[in-house]
This record gives sequence, structure tokens and C-alpha cells, in this order.
Amino acid sequence: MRKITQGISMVGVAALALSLVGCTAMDGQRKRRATSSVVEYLFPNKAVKVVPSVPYLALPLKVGMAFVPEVASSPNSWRRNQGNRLNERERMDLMDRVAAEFKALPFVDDIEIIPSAYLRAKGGFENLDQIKTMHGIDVIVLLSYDQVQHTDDSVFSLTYLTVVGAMVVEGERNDTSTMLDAAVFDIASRKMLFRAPGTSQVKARAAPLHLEEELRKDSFTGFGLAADQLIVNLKDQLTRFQAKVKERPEEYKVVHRKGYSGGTGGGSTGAVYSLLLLALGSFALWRNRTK
Amino acid sequence: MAKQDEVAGRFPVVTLSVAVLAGIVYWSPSLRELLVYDREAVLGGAVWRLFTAPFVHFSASHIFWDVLVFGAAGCLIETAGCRRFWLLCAAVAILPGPLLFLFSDLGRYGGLSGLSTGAASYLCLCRSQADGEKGKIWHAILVLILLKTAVELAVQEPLFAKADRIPFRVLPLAHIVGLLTASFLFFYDRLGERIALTNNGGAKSG
Repeated sequence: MRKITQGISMVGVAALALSLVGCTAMDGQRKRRATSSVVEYLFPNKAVKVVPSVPYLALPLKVGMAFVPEVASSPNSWRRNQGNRLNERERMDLMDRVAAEFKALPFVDDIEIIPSAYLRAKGGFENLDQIKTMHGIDVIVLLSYDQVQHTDDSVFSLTYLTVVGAMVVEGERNDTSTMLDAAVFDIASRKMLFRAPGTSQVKARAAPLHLEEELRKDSFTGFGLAADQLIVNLKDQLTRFQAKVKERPEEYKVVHRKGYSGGTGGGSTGAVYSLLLLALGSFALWRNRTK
Repeated sequence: MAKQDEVAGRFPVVTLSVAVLAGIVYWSPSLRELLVYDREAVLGGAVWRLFTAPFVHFSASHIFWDVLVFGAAGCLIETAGCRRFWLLCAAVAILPGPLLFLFSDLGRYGGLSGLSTGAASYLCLCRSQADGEKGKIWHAILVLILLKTAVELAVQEPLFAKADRIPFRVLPLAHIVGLLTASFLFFYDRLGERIALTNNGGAKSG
């Protein structure tokens, strides 16, 4: 009886050990990545050199916004499900949030959210020219992202190739690392006006049983947090860009569309005039009291 | 009762309300977007934007200088017990929007500068009358306001204000409305006072 019990125990231990080995083996190489790249979209052919010219920004600007197409996944990526890929509705929601920042700008006439279907993979500026004609826009905000969820034991990092260089975001096991990037281009001149990134890291909470569900939630949270940071950076970059346009008129030509009187219609009293009025008013009051 | 009225007239309720409202709108991007004069939105039925635009500002310096001048002039007018000031504010807030809509194709508009000009002009008119011979400096300030508005109208460029965020063209319409409304209210009141005086004199002599 004792032997039978011992035998059952050993089989149980062996089964448990095997199952753990199985889990490790199965999870050891797991990684899922969803990525889209502005570089791959705009410069698919390295032989063709794109030379940007001086942009003529006609105010108020007509702006478009779109996500660049996703990059085909590498063969060792975990593609059994596509949990961390953004669907069209999620893209639209994210774009609406970012677009709100542009809508608030007085020199932006309108911002057009362009569905992903209009952007061809590796479409380049030829594709943007078509979109410009189709939607009547001058400037486009190209959104791209890179999200990695690893479930192996090793420390990993996310390397994202932006138009201004590679960006590295460190990550740990089961963490979700997300990079969201907004690059603003003047289509006609091929000139990048400015860019703003947003990154996030969602710490792993997943228990093996609910791994899939948790990773999906983390993926969504990761995009949301990256968008929050992107919006903050975008405000900063917009301010810097406006200053740059004023400081370097030879690099950025600003023209007014017919009938456009600027966003701050009504003007402002301005510092000099306000101080002059206040000084004269104060002097008048003081003079009246002293006499 | 008379004393209560006097105290109520001395507290700058209208000025503070307008300044606080402008501040609230400035700090809330969604409110700003909801209240700004936007020609397309007005055409789409958002008629309130015609009247709420003066409370919308586009930058920190824009609101700071507008509210500073309006606040200083408004407080002086109200603490002097002028009860018509609310009428001036209401008229200058209401009039420019419909005028812009009818006579200009301006896309967006916002700012208290019309009210600031109106308040400063009204203060100058009231004080110049109250101070009599000593009030010449108020005349000088009024002339300065008139000249500034006239030059801006002629050259279509801001004389003093510089856009700190984007290039913009000056829009003197709101300033002209402020100036004219202030003058109209002031002279209307003086006319009313004269008629009342004449009637009282007539009644006494009769």
C-alpha cells in the first residue's frame, strides 16, 4: 500500500515537474509586438532620396491625422492572438484625443481624422499626396506605435525607430512597453515640422491563469497612458514650433488665406498699451488727490 | 435703504464677475472650445458663440492684459457708484459677435479687449466730467484710445499688441464698439440728467 502511495506521489511530482517544464518551454520564447513605423511608411525605398524644401504654411492650417500602416510581424513573434494590435475603433478614439489638442489651436482651421484604409503600406509621400488631394489637407500628423509584451524570463527592451533616431524603452517580464509617436509633416514640402513621443510602461500583474486577459488589458492601458504623455509632449512641441516659426522666418514661410484674420480676432490690449493706460490713469488719480 | 444701495453700488460685482468668468473659461479648454466665436459652428446653429466670445482668450498674456485693464477701469467705475456699467458690459459683449458675423468672414474671434476699451473710455468720460478743470489728463487718455483705434483701423496692424503664439491681424471692430457704446451711454445719461434738471427747474419756477 505504502509502495502504491509512494508510486502515485512520484507520478504526481513527475507530472507536476513536467507541466512546469512545459509551461517554461511554451512561455520561454513568447513575445508579442504590434508596431507601425513612420520611417518604413515614408521612406520605403532607400535608393530614392527625399529632399525637403521650405514649407509654406497657409493659415489657418488644414490638418489631417492618421495612423501609419502596421509593419508585417517577424516570424518569431507570438502571433497566436493579436491582443495588442489596435483596432480601427481604438485608433479613432486615440486620434480624437490627440486631435482635440490641434482643434484648440486658433491657427488650425480643421482637423480631419483619416481612416487607416486610406494609407497604403510603404506608401511614401506619393500616398500622402493622394490623401492631400482627397481630403484637402496641407499638413498631416502621422501616428505610429510600438508595443511589446514579453512573457519570457529575460529582461528586454523595446527599440523603436523614429524619423529622428532609435528610441529605447526598457522593460521587464510580462510588462507592457508602449511607444506612441506623432510626427507632423507639411506634405507639399516633405518637411517634418515637429514630432512628439509618448511612452508608457505597465507593470506586470498577470497570473498565468488570466495571462491573456490581463495582457490585453495592459495593452489597452499602455496605449492610453502613452497617449496621455504624447499629448503633454505635443503641447510643449507646439509651443516650441510656434517660437521656431517666428524666430526663423527663412525656414518656415507663413501666409494667410484670403479672409483669414487670425485666431485672436479682436486683438488684445497688449502689454505696452495696457501699462500706458494704467500709468496715465494712476497719475490722474494721484494728481487729483494731491491737489 | 439709501445707504444699502450706496454700498451695493460700491462693490465691483460686474467687474469681478466678468473677470472670474473669463478666468474660468481660459482654464477650461473644453469651455473655450464651446464658447469661442467660430463662424462654421455659428452657421451650424451654435448661436450663443456670438455673445460668449469676449470671455474666451487664446493665451496667458492675452487674458492677463485684457483683464488687467478691464479690472482696473471697471473697479474704478463701479466703486464710484456708477450703476450703468453693467449695461455697457452687456452691450459690448453682445454687439461685436453679430456684427462680425454679418460684415466679416472671420473664422474665430475672442477676447475682452472690446470691454476693456469700453470700460477705459467710460471711465475717462465720467472722471473728466467729475474732476472738472483737473480732469484734462482723462481727456488725454481718451484721445490716446481714440488715436490708437483709428490708427489700427487705418493700417490694419496692432499698434501695441504683439501675438505671442501666432501671427494675427488686428480686429478693431470690438474696440470701436466699446468706444462708441461708452460714449453713447455717457452722453445719454448726461442728456437724461439735463432733461431732469430742466423739468425740476420748470416745476419749481411753475
